Amino acid sequence: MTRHARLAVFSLVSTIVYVLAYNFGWQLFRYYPLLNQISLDPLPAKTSGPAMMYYGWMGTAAIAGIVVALIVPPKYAAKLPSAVAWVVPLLLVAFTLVYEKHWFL
Amino acid sequence: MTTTLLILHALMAVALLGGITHQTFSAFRTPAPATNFVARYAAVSGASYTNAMVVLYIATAILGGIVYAPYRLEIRTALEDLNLPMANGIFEIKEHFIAIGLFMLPAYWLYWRTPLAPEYAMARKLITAILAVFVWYGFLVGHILNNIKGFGQ
Repeated sequence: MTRHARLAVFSLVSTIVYVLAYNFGWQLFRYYPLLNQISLDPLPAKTSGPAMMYYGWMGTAAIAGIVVALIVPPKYAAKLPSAVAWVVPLLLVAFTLVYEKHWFL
Repeated sequence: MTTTLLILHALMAVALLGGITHQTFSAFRTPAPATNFVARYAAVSGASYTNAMVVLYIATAILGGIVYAPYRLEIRTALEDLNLPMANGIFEIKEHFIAIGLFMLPAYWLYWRTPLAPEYAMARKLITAILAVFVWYGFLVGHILNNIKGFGQ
């Protein structure tokens, strides 16, 4: 378990950071499907079409998860309660449903 | 090309749906002789599904990510023109669920490693159930949106 415990840390951090990323706009980059172009900065909507943030949020979350999982020593990672692996996603699901409720009002 | 990828995405989702549902039933099963259909459905070795589920989930998510770009340009715009905010809303929730599930996979794999540790039984059950809900939700939403405005129309 100890040898692979960092995987649980990665999951914990990346799921939380993903939700923070879409909530606060922390996308690593934007993708413009009309231009098939990745950009770090916003491009003018009139000429560039809609920007997609999804891949950028996932990039932010993946990097945060990898960095924290590498920093945390395995002996501490192994002490992470296994309940965190399902309690946190359930809370994130609840947050997501509240965050997206404006579509249904 | 996009339509082909979408169909492939749907077919992989079907395989993922079947596998993760089997595994969820097996995780919640109490050891006893399988005497009826449901018990026999659940009487599988859950751990043997894990690697296949991880590969299928990642592959399905990648294919979904590829067809997402044309969806954003063609379908979402059409849904906005049709004044169907709920359709866009259910898709937004789908993208978040699938991303959260993708990042849960390392923990899922960890807790399903054999020999199965009894102290992680609850984590195994609930992580797998959460992933199953994400997959079912994603599958149904994809199906509904395709019915509203499928590719190639």
